[in-house]
Parts: sequence; structure tokens; C-alpha cells
Amino acid sequence: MNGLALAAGVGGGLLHVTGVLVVLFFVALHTALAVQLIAALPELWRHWDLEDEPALRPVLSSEALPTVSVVVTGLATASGTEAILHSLLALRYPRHEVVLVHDGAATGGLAALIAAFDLYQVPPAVLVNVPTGVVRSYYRSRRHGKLFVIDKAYVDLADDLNAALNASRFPYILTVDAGSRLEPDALSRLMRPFLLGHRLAAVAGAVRVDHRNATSGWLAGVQEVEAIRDNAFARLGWNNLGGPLSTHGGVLLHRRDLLLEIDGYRGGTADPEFDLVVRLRAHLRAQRLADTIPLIPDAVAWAPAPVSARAIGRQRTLVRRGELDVLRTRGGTIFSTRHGLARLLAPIHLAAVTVLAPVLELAGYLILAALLVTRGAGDPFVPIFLLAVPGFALLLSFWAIALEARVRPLDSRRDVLRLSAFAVAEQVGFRQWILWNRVRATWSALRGGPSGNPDLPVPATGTEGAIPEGHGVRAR
Amino acid sequence: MSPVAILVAYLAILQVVFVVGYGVLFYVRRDRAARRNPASRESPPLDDLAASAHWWHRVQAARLSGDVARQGDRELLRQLLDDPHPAVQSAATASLAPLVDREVLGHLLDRLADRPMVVRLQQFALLKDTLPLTTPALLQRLTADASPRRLKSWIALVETIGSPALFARVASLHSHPDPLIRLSVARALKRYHDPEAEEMLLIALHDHDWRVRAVAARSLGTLGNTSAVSRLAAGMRDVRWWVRFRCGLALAQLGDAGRIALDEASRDTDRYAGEMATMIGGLSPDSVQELAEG
Repeated sequence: MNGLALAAGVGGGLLHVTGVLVVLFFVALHTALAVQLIAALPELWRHWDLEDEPALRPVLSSEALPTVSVVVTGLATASGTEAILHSLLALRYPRHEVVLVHDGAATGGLAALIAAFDLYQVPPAVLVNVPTGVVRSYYRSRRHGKLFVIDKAYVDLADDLNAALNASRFPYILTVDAGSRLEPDALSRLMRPFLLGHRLAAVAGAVRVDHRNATSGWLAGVQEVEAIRDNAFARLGWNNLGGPLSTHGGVLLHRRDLLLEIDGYRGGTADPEFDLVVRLRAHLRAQRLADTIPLIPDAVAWAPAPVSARAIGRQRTLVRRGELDVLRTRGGTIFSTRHGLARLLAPIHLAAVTVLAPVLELAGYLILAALLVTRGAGDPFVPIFLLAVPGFALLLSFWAIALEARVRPLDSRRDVLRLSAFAVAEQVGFRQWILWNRVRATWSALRGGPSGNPDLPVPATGTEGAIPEGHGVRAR
Repeated sequence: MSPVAILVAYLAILQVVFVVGYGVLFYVRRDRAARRNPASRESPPLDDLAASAHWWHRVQAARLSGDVARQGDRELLRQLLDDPHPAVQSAATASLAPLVDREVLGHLLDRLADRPMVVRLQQFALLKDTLPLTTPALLQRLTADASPRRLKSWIALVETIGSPALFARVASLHSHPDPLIRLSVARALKRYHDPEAEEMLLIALHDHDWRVRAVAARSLGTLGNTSAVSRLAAGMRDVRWWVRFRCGLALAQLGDAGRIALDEASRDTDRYAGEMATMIGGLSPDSVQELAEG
């Protein structure tokens, strides 16, 4: 009897200590997110200075703007690829080119593109600066001089990006997923920070979830709120420390010279763009360069959210693996810029979000369930946990919606209410479902060693599932 | 105090901080917009605004400084022109338009290379509007012994202005020891239809720096003189990809004579020349134009 009482006492004590740890951890984590969102306020302010300056508007559309190569990789159907190419060719920017990497097998996608754009095969007149897998052929369009298509065997995303890096002609490179849609003035907006004369290595823009998609339901809605909070405004707060750490789910305007200096993208990583940003920062540090990688708050790109459980699961696994890859291989040098504080905070933040958060949150829910079963809702842990975890997160989502309403004039109050409702839905059901997925992804990535090439292809923006097997253009 | 109450209080404090920050941000933004309206200039003294630590106050000072400068005090305007914030520089440039004299113009020209690109482009437009003053000042400065950094920005300005006298002076810099200056010269000359300029571009096609050769080929294509066909066709055998590419595009811009030369180059025994000529030869005229401008 005494033994049982002792075991129950020890178990209860352990539960209590774990519960306190979970709550303290999430209060700290959410406070960090709150600080990022508050830090985003002056960033918005800074960003608006030139946008509001009437004298500069004509200059920002000037013919003298630097030239940009827009690189398209990723998964899309033949018609989807055709649509995005048309929209990219029509971007409002004085001088740019579009480089598409097509690495599909004999799916018929390339034939559709050849017909749609009057492509003709050209000799391999491309300067190869970074070695890549075998390129089958290069195509130019008789109708659009700006378009260049590379047809190559699939190796991985990094290989495709390197092939495009070799083929692009211009000093700035924007990488875009084939499932995304750019705003017509996206290039001017992304280029603006470069024009200010600050020392920049790249400029990032967050991709918003395209809620106008007909297939959008509540799953897309909650991901829209998530993207606004985590990808747009929390990352904006990092600008004060040299720029956001992760750029997943975003578009990046790079300086080509810097990409070549670090030998382009590294193969065998789950998220080559994230890996590249980390290596770029390390390179800048080694060269004693103070260039930063800021994020702009503008809504420059849109992508449909994955709407099936499988697609969401695979997308999250990919993101988690990318983060763990970076943490494992470059944890010590993640933020190699002149910003000493950031170098300290970034790995801690990444480790907290990637490794600790899912495990502790799962523990929190298990304790919650145990307490509800054994003691009912009267235990003080219940309200504290609900307040510190979903409650605090909900508050931060409302902040992000308030910020979004200033950046992107939402259509109406109804839009704000819609997003607010999704913010609630995110905390009740979606968060818990995603948690399970995060725990599994973290566990599998930790157990499996370096992720290498995970069971790709997995779209970064969730277009997977919409492509009938064997009928789509695999642009990645 | 119970842990729940502590947590609620903590969240409330954070909420207040956010709401205050949000309110200040949008109040100041509204305030800025209101101050832009000349009818509501209830502003502090101009010197205070110009010395403010907040850039938006200095922007306001820059906007109002035109009036003060008209009354003789140009020092303030000059100070704002050299402000570290691009928006202040831009607003000061906009206020400057009716006030440009020789002294101000000299200051603008001498600092042109230091400006962020947006402000530089804005000042290009301003300097173009004051051409009678700008031309002699630029002629005086466009000499081989000027700092290459400044020289580069002045050559870019000449390209925007497009005055024959200035182009002639720029052309005289075609043998400058700095390759970036030679490159700027070759780029600027694409807007100068003059036999002497074309001759210099043909010489630049043999420059030892490949970037200069590529830009010279591009300018020759833009000028459209068919006398360059044979030299451009020879450029198709250049060791550098970019030079072959630019020579090919230039040939495609030179009408039938250029197309014939391209066709011949596509059968060249030099594999690289042949491949480049085949690629360019397949493009439609619109596509050639698009690529040549890019």
C-alpha cells in the first residue's frame, strides 16, 4: 500500500514538474513570437517610407532598374505551368527573363510547353559555373525572348536550381515554386531594398495562402492564418537581427554573384533554399561582409495551401527535416553575420521550435488528458495550459491579422472576421493534429540521420495531389 | 495571486504593448500623411525638424526647405540632400527642382556616385531638366584623371541626358585604363549615332576585357549600322560565352546582312560559334529585341 502511495506520489510530482516545465516553455516561446511581432511594427514603418514617397514612384518603375532572372522549379500540371509562365512573362518590370527547369520524365508536359510557347531546341550554349546532373536539352521561345526552358533528368531540387543558376543571365535571381503566383509588381517591390543603397545579400518575401482558390476550405483558411503569423510577420521581426532565419514558404531575390561564390545550392538537403541561406550567412561572416537578408512585408506571392491530410503531412515533414538538417549540420554557424545576438538566439530558437516544442506540447496534452480523467477540469494546470498554449497562440494570431490588415487591404470586415474564425479553428483541432505530425516528423528525422533526399517529390506549397500521375509537367 | 491570474495579467500587458505600438505606428503614419498636405502645416520650426532623429520629421523638413532656400538659406537644403536616409534625400531632391544653380549642381554631381540608386535616378531626371547648367559642369568633370567611381556615375548620367557634346567627351574616354570606365563608355555610346562613336565601339570589340567586348557588341547592335557586320561575325568566335551571345544578338538586329552572317556562323567549324549562331538564328525579331534589351 505504501509502495503504491509512494509511486502515485512520485508520478504526481513528475506530472507536476513536467506540467510546470511545459507551461514555462510555451510562455517563453510565445513571448519570443510576441516580441517578433512587436518588432515587426517598426519594420513596417521603415518599409513604408519609400512606398509613400511620391517623388520616387516614377523612379521605381524606371528602365534603369537592375535586370532579374526569375527561376521556376517545382511541381505543376501542364496547364498550371503554362499559366504561371504567362503570368511571369507579363510581370510589370522593365527587364527580366524567366528560366523554367523541367525535369519530368516522358509525361507529355514538355510537348505541351513546346506547343504553347513555340519552343525550339537550342545548342547547349550555357556557361556552366556550378556542376549539375545531365541536361537533356535547352529551349528558347520564338514568341517570348524572355523565356528559357531547361529539360533535364531529375536529381533533386538543388540540382534544378543550380542548372537554372548556370543558365540565368542577369545579376539578380528570384526563385519561385511552380505552384506559386506572383503579384504583377512583385519584382519592383522585392528590388526596392536593393535600390536604397543598403548592403544586402538577398531579399525575401513571404508567400501568402491563396484563399481565392475554389478548393479552399477551413484547412486552407487555418494555414492562411498560420502563414501570415509565422511566415510574414514573425520573420519580419527578425529583420532587426539581420533577417529571418528560415525562408521556407517564401520567395528569395538573390544576388547571383554571391550564389556563385558559394557554389550554388547544395544537393542532398531537404530544403536547399534554407541550407543556402545559412551557408550564405556563413560566407558573409567569413568575408567580413555586413550584408543582410531582410524580409519585406508586402504580399508579393501567393500559393494554394495543401488541402489533403496527406499533402499537409508530407509538406510539414519536409519543412521539419530541412530545419533539423540545418540544426544538425550548421547549428553553430546558423546566423553568421555581424549581429552577435542573432548568432546566439537563432540556433536556440530553431532548436526550441523544431525539437523541443512538439515534444513538450505533446507531453502537455497527455498531462491535460490524464488530469481531466483523474481530477476533472478543477486542476489549475488545465486553465493555465490552455491559456499558455492555444490561448497565447490565438492572441498572437489576432495580432498578425491586425498587421496583415494594414499591409494588404483586406476586402472587408468580413475578411477579418473570416481570418479570425480560422485563427480560432487553428487552435482547436488543427494545431493538435499538426502536433502529432510534427512529433512524428521530428522523431523520424532524428532517427534517420541526415535526411538526404527524402521521399520526394513533395511540393513546398502543397500542389501535390492535384497532379494526376503520369499526366503532369514535372517542372521539378 | 494565482498562476492563472498572473498569466492573464501578463497577456494583458503584452496586449497593451502591442496596441500602443500599433496605435503609435498608424497615428504617426496618418500624421505624416496629414503633414504632407500643405494646408495643415502646423509644424515645429524647420531647424528642429531637420535635426530630428526621426527620418519622417526630416522628410517633412526637406519638403519645406524649398521655401527657405528660395529666401537664401541653401545650407539646410544641402544638409538634407546629404541625409543618410534615402527618403529624406529624395524629398530634398524634389524640393530642389526650381533652385538649381551652378553651386548646387556641382554639389549634386560630386555626390552622385554616393547616392542610393533610387535617388541617383531621381537626380538624373533633375539634372536632365537643367541641361544648360549641367552640360558645362559635366564637360569640366569628364576627364581621364577623375575618380573612376564618379566618372562611372557621370557617364551613366550622360547616357540619360543624351547630349551630343557630352557623348563626344565620353567617347574620348574609350581608352581609359579602368575596364569599368571603358565598359560604361561602350554602354553609353549605344545612344550616340556618330561615325566616330561607332569606330570606337569597333575598337572596343577587341578590348582585352571580355565585359567591354560584350557591351560594345550590344551597343553596335542597338546602333544598327551594317558596317559592323563583319567585325561582329568575327566576334562569334570569341572565347567568352557572353561576347558570342551579344555578337549573335547584334547580328540578328542588323537586318538581312546580319542574318546572313549568322547563318554562315551557324555552319562555322568553330563549334561554339556555330551553336550560338543556331540558337540566336531561331529567335523571332521580337524575341531578339527582348533579349538584346535585357
